[in-house]
Amino acid sequence: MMRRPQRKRGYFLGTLLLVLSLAAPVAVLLGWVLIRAISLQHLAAEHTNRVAVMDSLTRRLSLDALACQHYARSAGDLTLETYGQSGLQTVRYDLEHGVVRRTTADGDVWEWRARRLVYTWDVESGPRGDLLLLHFVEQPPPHASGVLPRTYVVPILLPPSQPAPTATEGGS
Amino acid sequence: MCGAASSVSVLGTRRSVERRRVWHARRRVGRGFVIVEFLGFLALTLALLVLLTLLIVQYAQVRRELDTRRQLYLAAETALQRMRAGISSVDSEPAAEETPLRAGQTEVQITTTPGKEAWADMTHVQVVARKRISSRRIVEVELSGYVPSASGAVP
Repeated sequence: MMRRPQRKRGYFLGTLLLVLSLAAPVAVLLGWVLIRAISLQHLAAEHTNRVAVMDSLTRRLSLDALACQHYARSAGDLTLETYGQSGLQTVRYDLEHGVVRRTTADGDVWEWRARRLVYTWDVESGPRGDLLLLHFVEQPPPHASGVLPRTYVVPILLPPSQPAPTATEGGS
Repeated sequence: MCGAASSVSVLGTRRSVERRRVWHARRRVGRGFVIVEFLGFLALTLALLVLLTLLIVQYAQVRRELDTRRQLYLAAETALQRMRAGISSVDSEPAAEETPLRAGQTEVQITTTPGKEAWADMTHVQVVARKRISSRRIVEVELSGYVPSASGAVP
C-alpha cells in the first residue's frame, strides 16, 4: 500500500520524459520554421518596397527621357532639358549614396530611397542616341551569409548628348 | 479473537489485491490514452512543420523565378535599346548557340528579319533571353521590336 504513490510518480515521470524527449526536437524544429517564415515575410515586404521604388524611378526617368531634348551628365548628377507643360524646363537627378533626388526648376523635389538598395548609373553612347543604364543593386541582409547581391540593369534611351537631327524610329 | 483477526486479515489482503488489479487496469487504460493523445499531437505538429517548409520552399521558388524573369526582360530590353541607339549593329547579331544552358547561365539570342510594307526601312528584331534556374526549369522571355536598318538610317 505504501509503494503505490511511488509507482504512480514513476509512471508519470516516465511518461513525461518520453513525451519531452520526442516533443522537444519537434518543438525546436517548429519554432525554427516559424521564425524562418516570419523573417521571410518581413524580407518579402522589404523586397516589394525596393521593387516599387525601382519601378517608380524608372517610370519617372523614362517619361523625362521621352520629353528630353538634350542632357548633360557629370559624376553624380544628370541634367535633362525636357519639354513640359510650361515649355522647356530643366530636370536634375542627383545620385547620392542610397538616394536619388529629382529637382525641377519650379522647386519640385522627389526622392527615391529604399533600405539595402544601391544605385549607380552608366552611359553608353551611340550614333542614334545614348543609353543610360541604371544599375539597381539589391544588397543581401546583413546576417545572411552566402547570398549574393542581385543586380537589375534598366536601360533608358536618351537623345545624343550633342543636339542632332532626329532619326526615324519604330515602336516595339 | 484469533479467528476473527485472521478473517479480517484475509479480507484485507483480498481487498488489497482487488484494488491493485483495478489500479493496474486503470493505469493501462490511462497510458494508452496518453500515448494516443501524444501520437496525435506529434502527427499534427509534423504535418504543420511539413506544410510550413513546403510554403517556404514554394515561395522561394516563385520569387526566384519572378526575379529571373524581371532580369531577363531587362536584359532583352537592353539588347533592343542598344540596337535602337546604334551601339550594337543590327547586322552583327551573335550566332545562336547550340550548347545546352548550364545552371545560372544566361543566354540572349537575337534574330533579325527585314521589315515589310510600311516597315520596309526598318529591321524586325526578336530578342529571346533564357536562364536555367534549376535542372528542370528554364525561364524564357521574348521581346521584339522594329529598329532602324543599319544602311542609311543613321543621320
